[in-house]
Amino acid sequence: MTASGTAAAADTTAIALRRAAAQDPGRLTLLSRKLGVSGLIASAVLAVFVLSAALAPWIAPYDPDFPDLLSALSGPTSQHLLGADALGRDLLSRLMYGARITLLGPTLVILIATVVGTLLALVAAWNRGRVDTVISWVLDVLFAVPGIVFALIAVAIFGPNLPTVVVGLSIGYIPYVARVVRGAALRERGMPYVQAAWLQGQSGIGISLKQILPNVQPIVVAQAVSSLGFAVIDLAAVSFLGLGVQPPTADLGLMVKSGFDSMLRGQALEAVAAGLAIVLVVWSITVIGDRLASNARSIR
Amino acid sequence: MSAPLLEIEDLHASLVTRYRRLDLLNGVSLTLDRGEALGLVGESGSGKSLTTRAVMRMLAKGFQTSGDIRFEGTSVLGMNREQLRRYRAKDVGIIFQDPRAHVNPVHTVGDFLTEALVREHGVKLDEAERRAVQLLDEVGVRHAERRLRQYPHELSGGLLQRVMIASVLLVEPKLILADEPTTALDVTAQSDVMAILDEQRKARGLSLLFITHDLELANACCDRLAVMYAGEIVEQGAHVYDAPTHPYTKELLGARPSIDERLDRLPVLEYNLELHNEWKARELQERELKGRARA
Amino acid sequence: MVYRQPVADLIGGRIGTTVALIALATIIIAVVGIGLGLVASLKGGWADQVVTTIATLGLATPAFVIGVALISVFAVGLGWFPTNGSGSGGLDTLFHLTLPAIALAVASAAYQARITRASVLEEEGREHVQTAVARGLRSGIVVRRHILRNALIPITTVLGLTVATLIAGAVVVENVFALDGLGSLLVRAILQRDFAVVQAVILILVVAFVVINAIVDFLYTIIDPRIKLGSKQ
Repeated sequence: MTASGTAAAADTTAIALRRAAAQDPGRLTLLSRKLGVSGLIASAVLAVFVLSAALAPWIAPYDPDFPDLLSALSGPTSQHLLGADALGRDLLSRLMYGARITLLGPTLVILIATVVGTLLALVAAWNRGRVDTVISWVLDVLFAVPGIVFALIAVAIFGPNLPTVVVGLSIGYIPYVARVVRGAALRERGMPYVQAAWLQGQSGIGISLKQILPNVQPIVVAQAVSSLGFAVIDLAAVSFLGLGVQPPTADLGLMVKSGFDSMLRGQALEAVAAGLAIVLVVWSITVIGDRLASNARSIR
Repeated sequence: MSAPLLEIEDLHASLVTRYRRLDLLNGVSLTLDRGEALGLVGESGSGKSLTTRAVMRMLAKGFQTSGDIRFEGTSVLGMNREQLRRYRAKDVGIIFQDPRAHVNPVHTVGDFLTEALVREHGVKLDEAERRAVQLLDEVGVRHAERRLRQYPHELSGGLLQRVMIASVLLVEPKLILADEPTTALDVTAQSDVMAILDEQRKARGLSLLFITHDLELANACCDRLAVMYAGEIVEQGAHVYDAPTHPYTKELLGARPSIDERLDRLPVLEYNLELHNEWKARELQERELKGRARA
Repeated sequence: MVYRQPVADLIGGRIGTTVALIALATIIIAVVGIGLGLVASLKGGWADQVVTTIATLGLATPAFVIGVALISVFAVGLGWFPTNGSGSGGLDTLFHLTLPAIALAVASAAYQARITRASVLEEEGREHVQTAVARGLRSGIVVRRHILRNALIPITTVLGLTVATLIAGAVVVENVFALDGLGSLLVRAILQRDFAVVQAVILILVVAFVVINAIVDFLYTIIDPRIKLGSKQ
């Protein structure tokens, strides 16, 4: 049982501990100090996926849409390193191309959500009063509904395709970003340096962007990375349902779907490979996000 | 001569990390008899709170200790878990500095007061509540019955601190540790609360170790004073307030502005670690000389 | 109206399956999620490491991937469970809904475990716990009345909000297991551009989300005596 400890004395203790730790011989590089062992492994894994996705047009062994019907549903062979799907398309190539969408889509979602959410939050935090109340109320309503539902609504109206899903998901993710930023911005707003800048004649917008924003940035980044993992899952899920990118485009979610059918016919490799790829991508993003979040917390 | 109630002998406490070692208590020694009150005074960071925590054996996990703390002759540092638990439940009580943080907000005030009595002292709930109401009255909390049903957040800081004091008195521990119990209160509440604590503990014959940085307050309710600096006690005794001998104590007492004076600058303490180490070296020399003279 | 049935009938028949699925998943999340979180935070050491690793993995795995995996291993491979459908009511339905409920619950259980662990650890470090220890109370009492009781506030809040996520997740899981719930109805309606059905289902979902949030807010006032109904903290 670990419940024992000081409190008032803990202040002195905590400060002492922090000072002691900060002065230890820094033989580790700055990056590995920031990320830790698990963070480094996760970064390596993620880097593999990002690189394969980015360089796919040059390093993929086959055209992802090329149907080699003679090899359909085969396991790993010398011709197809990971085998082929039901239409004979090379799995490895499809995985690489699929990674592009699986990574690109959610990145766009998070970018849009972060930019819009941060702006809304800064506006709400700076103006407070009625503006804040209205914005917060809207955010609360949006917050109550899970992100994927927005994507579904968007697809219901505009039909199933990638841009629609991206926009829908972005709307769903805005409240997550906005909440965190608003809280941090409100805290910063109360600090003396903001008052000082105001007295110097800087405008609200200026202060928000040039003073407050840089200080909340670590939290924003940590939150964005964490949300990225969930966005990947949501996008893959929407594709799995057939409401996202449409076949024959390669997408990891779609591949799990078609892999599912293949699996019921005896060949599980497509589903396993695609599923595993998704898990690895999300896992590595989550680990890095966690690390960034705890770094952001320990700054305060 | 009976053994003293509390004996701290050459207590050292250090925080040890992988790369550094911070010595926070450097050989603290003091004794306290039954019914006696000792005031432990010093600046923030001098080690006063740590000493109290050490007596409860509640130092944080990274600490390495040496020396001994004995309660009624038994070593606290050597107790097993069950003995320690009973020691904390029956023999020692601690009044913390910030009542707001130290009282569980989801249980009622009555629950806070009666919990230890009911669970560790075998008192029935209605009897415990009766005693609680009586004690609340004695410490100056009006409408005591109503207070029992209220939650901590409904009480002011001063009121809550009185509740905290009442909770310690209810158990009647032989030793009360008071860690700056009045620092979080305003001045009028401070003297009220200390007066109550002083009166109550004397009535019950309990000992008091009073941590504070307020020298007057300490002198007013304690039989002896001990002055701490940089993790050790530099001077202790009944004479400290009126006739201090140590340079640090003298500076400390001299630093308080009197209402009759007019000053251009508030006095600043000049005592520092360098002077402190010099003083320690001189003490060591003296002791060696005395030792050789006797031999 | 593609089905040529009143929308209400269509929904009524399916809402039961969805509710049952979510209820089952919630039980799993509460038991497994909170349980593992408690083990990790109270036992510490290697138990903590193991649970944290499992939780991180669980959080990273989408429900449909788990669903596909469960089907391949337990339904097709081992034949212990049916591969799809929601059975014929009562115990049979429960049997049919087991795998889907597990698939739905995994990610949320992982999250619940994390939150539980974090809340307990945070509460453990609080000063009022020291007061309890300083009074010589038994460790069992300290843990129950002062750590867990207080940690319950964030734990139950998260559990309540998770139910909303489950509703959304049910849409996907019902698709994987071919269950006749609201989720699969919604997906089909979207694909077939049956706007009447889409609107109706979305409306139900949104109402459900808002109601759940309100209930959680209300529960908060009961567990935390500092919060009163109507006050904004």
